[in-house]
Parts: sequence; C-alpha cells; structure tokens
Amino acid sequence: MTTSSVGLDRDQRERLRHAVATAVAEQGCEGTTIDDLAERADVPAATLGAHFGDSAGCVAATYADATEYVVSLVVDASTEGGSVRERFRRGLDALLRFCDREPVVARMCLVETSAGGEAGLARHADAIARLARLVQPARNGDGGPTLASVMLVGAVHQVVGARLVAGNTRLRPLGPEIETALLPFLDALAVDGGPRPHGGERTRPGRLVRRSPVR
Amino acid sequence: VSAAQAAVSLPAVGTGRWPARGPRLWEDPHFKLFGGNHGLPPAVVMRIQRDRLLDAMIAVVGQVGYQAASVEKVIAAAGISRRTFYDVFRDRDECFVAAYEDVASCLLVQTAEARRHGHSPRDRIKRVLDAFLGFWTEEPDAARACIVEVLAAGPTARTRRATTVEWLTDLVEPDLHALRGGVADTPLAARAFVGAVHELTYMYIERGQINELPALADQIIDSQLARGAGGT
Repeated sequence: MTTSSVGLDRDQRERLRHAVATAVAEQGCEGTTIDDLAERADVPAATLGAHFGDSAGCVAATYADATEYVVSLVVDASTEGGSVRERFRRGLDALLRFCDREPVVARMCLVETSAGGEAGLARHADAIARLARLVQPARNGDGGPTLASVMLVGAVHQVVGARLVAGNTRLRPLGPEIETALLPFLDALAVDGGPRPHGGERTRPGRLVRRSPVR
Repeated sequence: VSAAQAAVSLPAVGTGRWPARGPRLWEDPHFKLFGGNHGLPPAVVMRIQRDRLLDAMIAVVGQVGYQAASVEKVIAAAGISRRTFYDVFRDRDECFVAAYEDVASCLLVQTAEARRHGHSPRDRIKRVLDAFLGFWTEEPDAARACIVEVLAAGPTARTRRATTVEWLTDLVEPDLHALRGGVADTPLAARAFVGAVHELTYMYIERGQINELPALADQIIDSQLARGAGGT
C-alpha cells in the first residue's frame, strides 16, 4: 500500500481529483467512502484500497496530488523567459484558466487543502514557498522566500481563493484587475533585497505551537 | 476530570484570554455552577455552558486540527455532557462557527480600537498590524483554529472567514488609499493586502514561530508602504 497517487495513471489521477473534490464538497470527509470515490472516479475500489488503505488516506493523498498539480501548472507557465512581471502574469493566467476549467477542484486545491492538520499546514506552506521563489529576483539567491515574494504569492492565493469561496466561476477575465491590484506587491518585489521571514528556516520543522500534549 | 479533559488545556483564570471580552464568569474560582443550589436562572447557566463549549472548541481545534476535533473531545475539554452540547448546538460545525465568531469579534474590536488611536495613515496601519499580529501571538490555539483550520470547517465557516477578511479590508482601505493612491487604489488592492498578511501569519504558525509575528509589522510597512506617498 502506498500513501500517494503516483501509481495511478494520469487520467485516473485527474478523475480522482475531481471525485474527491466533489465528494468532500457534498458530504464532507467523514461521509466519503472508498466505494463512493471509486464509483465517481471510475477506478476499481480494490485499486484505491490497495493504494490508500481507506478513504481518509485517499483524500489526504489526493489533496497532496492536487496541490502539486496546481503548483506545477503555475511553475510551467512562469519559469522561462521575460521579466518578473511577465512571468507573474503568465503564472496568474494559468491559475485562473485552471480555476475556470475545474472550479470545484480549484477550490479544493486553493482553499480546503490549506487546512487539515500538520500535513495540510506543511503542504500549503511548501507550495507558497516554492511559488514565492519563482517571482523573487535572482539576486536574492536561494536562501528561502523573501517577505515581499511571500506577500505577493499569498495575496494571489487569498484573492483568488476568496472568489472561489464566493462561487465565482469566471475568473480569467479578472486577471488584469488582479494584476493592477497587486502592483504595490510587484513594486515591492522589484526593490526586494530581503528581509526573509525568519531567515527562511524553521525553528521547529513542521511543528505547531501547542500548550500541552493532546491524545 | 477525565483523561480526555485533562489532555486538552483550557486557559487558566487570569491569563487574559480574549482581553476584549473580559474574564468568563466561570473562570472565577469562587463561582459555583455544578452540584445544584447555585441559584442561577437556566438561561444564565445555558450561556455559561455555551461559553465553555466555545472555549473548548477553540482549544481542541487549535491543538488537534478540525478533522480530529470530535464532539467527544470538545465536551471532555469543556467538562460538559453530550446532551448539553446538543441542547446548545445542532452539530460540531455549528459550534465551531460560533466559536470562530466569538474569536473574530474580539479580534475586530481590538484592531478597530488600535486604529482609533493612530495619528496618521501609516501609524493607523501600523497599529492595526500590531493588534492583528499580537492577538494571534497571545492566542496560539485560536490562531491555528481561525487562520488555518477554519478553511476545513465547511462552507459556513469559510463564509464567516471571508466576512472577517472583508471587515479588516474596510478597516485598512482608507489608510491604504491615503498612502498609495494611484492605479492600485481599489478595494481589491486592500483585500490583497489583508490576504497577504493572513498568508504570512499562516506561514509563521506552520513554522512554529508564532511568537515572532509582532516583529513583522515594521517589515510589512517597510516592504509595502515605504515608497507610497505620505508614507511618513
């Protein structure tokens, strides 16, 4: 048994992302079963069971897969060529096109997967850090995302996520308006020489602040 | 006190929890609620039990996450029966939404009060940031529950969170307008600013560095507003 959806083929993973997003949206994590996901995704229940063990494992693995998927879409669109602003525009456009094409999956990727315990926290923070490195000037090296770059990516995440929560389904036409609203963040990036949030290092990797042990 | 109740720490009396709200009645060590003969009207008892459940919900979600925060854990932490829980709330989601609103209302009161004492647009934004970031540092369980886990708590909770963001956006927008002006002077720009601050808060929670949040206010001002008109 694995804990990721890597062993499934590309079409199966795409169908599973959609199946998990719609099932969890309709009936919550607790009400979602392996059989239900298998039927929605048109993947044998035995295959899902062998891969993930149970529905919770399947949902968790799909959350991770979905986050990776949306990050890769933006990375592919914005890695090569042009100024920071041009690359930002292409990345934003790729994100908005994805939101319009798959709004339920997009809401899962951008909103719901940000929660869900320590794994969700770490997954989301890692995605933001990777995207932040995309937009920060090369002169800042690879010492971790700077505050300005995290704020820019975070602003995109929050603005687009809010539209998805509100039920907006045509986001791509909003691209120019969003870019204009984020000009101060892009300006800050242009002169960004740091500082980095907390030096780019975790003091306690993946650990949450807790007052006492919890059973 | 059951093992489950002992496992989740509720705030002790006098820790200043929810400073804007004042101390809970039941936090008074001389206060007697259980065991009968307390002489309180049923509505008052119900209100106190509700408050205990709200505090317990925040503590449990803050410590184990929303998915693992069962009604069982919440009532154990509150020291209240399952029957009473369902007398007060329809289900776990409704209890969490009420708890979120309890925290958010205190946050909004404190940020608005902080802004009121500012003497310039930049100073008002700085004070709002200080109040916002300081609030979460004081309340780490509430920080994780209301900044992170709220996103997994269903559509009603997400809508309430969006309302909080809108309210904070309205609070800072006039001062951002005064400082920035120009093409970025739109409600969406103010919403993006509030969203970006949320994102930074999220990152610090994830990294276990919530105590360092207050130091961010000056960095945010320097990064985002130093080049704006009237930035002094």
